[in-house]
Amino acid sequence: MGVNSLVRAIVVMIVVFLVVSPFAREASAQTPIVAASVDDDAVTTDDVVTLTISVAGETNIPVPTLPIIDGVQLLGRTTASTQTLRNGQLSAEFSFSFRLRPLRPGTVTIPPVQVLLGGTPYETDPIEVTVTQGTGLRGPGTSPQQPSSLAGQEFFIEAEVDNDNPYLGEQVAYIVKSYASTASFALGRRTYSPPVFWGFWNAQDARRREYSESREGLRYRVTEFRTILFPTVLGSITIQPAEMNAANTFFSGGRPQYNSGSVTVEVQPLPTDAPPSFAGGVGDFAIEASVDVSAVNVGEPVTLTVQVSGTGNLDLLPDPVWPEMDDWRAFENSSDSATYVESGQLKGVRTYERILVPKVAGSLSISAIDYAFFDPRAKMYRTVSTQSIPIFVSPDPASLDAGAASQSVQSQVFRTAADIRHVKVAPDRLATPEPPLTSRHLYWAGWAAPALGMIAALAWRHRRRLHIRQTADGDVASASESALNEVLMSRERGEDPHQASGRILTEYLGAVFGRSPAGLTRQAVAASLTQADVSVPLISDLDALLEQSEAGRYAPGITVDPAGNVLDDAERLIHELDWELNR
Amino acid sequence: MKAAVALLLVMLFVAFVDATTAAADAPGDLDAFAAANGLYDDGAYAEAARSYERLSALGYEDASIYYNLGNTYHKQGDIGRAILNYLRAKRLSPRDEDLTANLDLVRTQTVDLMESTGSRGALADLAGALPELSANELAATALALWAAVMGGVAAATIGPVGRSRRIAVSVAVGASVLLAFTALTMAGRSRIDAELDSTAVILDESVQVHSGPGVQYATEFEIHAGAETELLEVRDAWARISIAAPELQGWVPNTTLETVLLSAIP
Repeated sequence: MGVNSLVRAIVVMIVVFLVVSPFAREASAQTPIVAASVDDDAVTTDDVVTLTISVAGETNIPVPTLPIIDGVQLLGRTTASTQTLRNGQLSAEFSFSFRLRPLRPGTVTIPPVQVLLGGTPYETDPIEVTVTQGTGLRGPGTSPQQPSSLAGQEFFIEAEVDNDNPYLGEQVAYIVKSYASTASFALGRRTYSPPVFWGFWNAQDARRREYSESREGLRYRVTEFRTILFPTVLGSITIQPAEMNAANTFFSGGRPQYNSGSVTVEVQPLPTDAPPSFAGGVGDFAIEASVDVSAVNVGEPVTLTVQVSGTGNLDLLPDPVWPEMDDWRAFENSSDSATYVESGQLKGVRTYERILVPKVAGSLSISAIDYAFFDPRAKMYRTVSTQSIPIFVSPDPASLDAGAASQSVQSQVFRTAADIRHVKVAPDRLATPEPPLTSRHLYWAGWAAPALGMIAALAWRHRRRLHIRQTADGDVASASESALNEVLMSRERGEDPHQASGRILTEYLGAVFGRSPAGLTRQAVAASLTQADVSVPLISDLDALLEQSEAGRYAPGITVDPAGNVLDDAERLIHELDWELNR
Repeated sequence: MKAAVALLLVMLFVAFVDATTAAADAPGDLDAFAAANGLYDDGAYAEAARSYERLSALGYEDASIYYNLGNTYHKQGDIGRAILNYLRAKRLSPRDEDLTANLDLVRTQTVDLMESTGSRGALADLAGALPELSANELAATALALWAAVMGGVAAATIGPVGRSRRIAVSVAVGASVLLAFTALTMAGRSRIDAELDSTAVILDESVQVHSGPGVQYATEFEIHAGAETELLEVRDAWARISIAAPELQGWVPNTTLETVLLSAIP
């Protein structure tokens, strides 16, 4: 392979790369990948299945809505995201994990989950999970055992809720109390098995409250086990009995099982007067926003941290509605929540981080962020807002002219506001409506004028030629006769043929055109014959003969043509001219 | 001879261009214009608008009047009338940079975001790609080029042979090419002007667009002040309009809009 071939191959490869790479990059950046998976597709009713919906390729993804899955209880959801900047393109991968508990044996089909990306729905494939009967927990379809009676028992358990008519999403405490007689029931090993909370998202309160209480003449040691519930469906929900295995001493052989009663909760819907920015948050929340820097250059990132804190289900808290900010490019980075139980209430903080990149320089601000939620205690919707955060954005140093950048006293001028341009001053004259130019007769007359001029020019030329011809008609016959006589006589006289032919032709043409032979140069002859419509070859022959004649006269040593032929040629040309001029 | 032909052409061109800008001699009205500008500077926008409107009602059709009217309405927050008057000014003075800047700015302040559908046809696109000339300017240019073509042909026919004839032929051929191009541009320009003439601007803050000429017909969509629509038909007190993107059409009361061409709606 030669050097040229190598260079050509490299150029072709560069061109192909430049042409193809933008499309490839665009395709990879714009095609989201949506997939669903479970951590185990063969489980028992004791297990929890984690369904993961992963979405790659988009930076702004709403939380997928999980369809109703028959025979499965939704326990909770977590979200994780990663973002990477590759080849100048921001790509992100989100994973939404749903914890599901199968309620009964059989085959559970998780239907396709729809994710709406930029208005286009994407669906995952359906997934089948095989569920077999477990050994520990019972589903809601099984018959609960009757709770133990209270009176005079050495040990029994009770279940209750602190609010049996909550709103959808409102926090409810499910409390199981174990009563152990202090007189005869020593503290042994106990195993508490909470029921399946179908229709609730739940969180366990790890701390147990213990106190003493007298019931029907007996003194009991009471232990409270609390579970925090958030209703996820409307209507009447029955919580099946809780179970507890307990022994009266450490050394007793058996561990009898005790059951509480079932508890029914009536979940009521939220009021209908929700504000537009309400996304489903229920509880009592506050919102704060902060940034990591207060002054940046154009194109440099600012991390906006928004914290929603308070009482409620912060793990499932809907995202705030982010305000539109024309001067910024926004990228969702991550969100996370940290919860704790205090005074029997689930509290915590949900933290959102967004990367904001200023597009323009100047004194910008990050708009206030509103968060609407339903406060079940006040029984009304409330909206909390962050403060607007000012950010001073300097121009991108890289984009400034190197010379200007080096001038410390100079700075680039930026437009900080836009307004219309000012009114115009009074003109010299105010125009009145005029019909279009093309609707005027004068305009079309203007089109006709050059055409008429053209016609006039042609007529003038024709008239001129006619005049020449008429003038010549009278003279041509006698001029040619005279010229031909002169040719014969010059031969008889033995005159120099070059001199004679030149003289005879010039006198002939002078007679034809009515001009003095002395003023007829070769150029003038050619022009006159052209105007008289004499053919170009004939004009050329005549010009050549005149030139030859001049050469013979003024440079006799140079004989271009035998002298006898010059007169013959002159005679021939006179005949031909005579014919053409009389044509 | 050549000098006479050239003089004739120049006189024709000047006469036609001057005819397009014929104006009335009214110094009192010019004073009123200046007074309206003073009101504008004092922030009396409503009074200034009334003064400009009076001048327009007197029969003047001057781009400066409509431009200043657009400004006064914009200052009063009336986006619809601001756009309407800027469009009327643009029809008369398409190359005015101030006008283009103001129109572009005010268009960003409308409620409705309406994007252009793109191509209006090859001729209109050709006309739009050229420096904007008014229809009369194009007509005068075409006439001048026609005169150049004829002059070149005549000179080549009757003039002397040699270099002069070659120059005359070149002028005739060049002018012919330019004339053909100008004729195509005129056709495109004519289409743009027709489009502008049928443009109707919504003036009411919010207008419901019905499926027929009456409130008894279903409301299909809502449109807001400043939206530029195409007037398709006028029937009694109702006007049928269409918007390009999204492609929708319907009926609105004809009191809620005005066309760029003053006499389009009776």
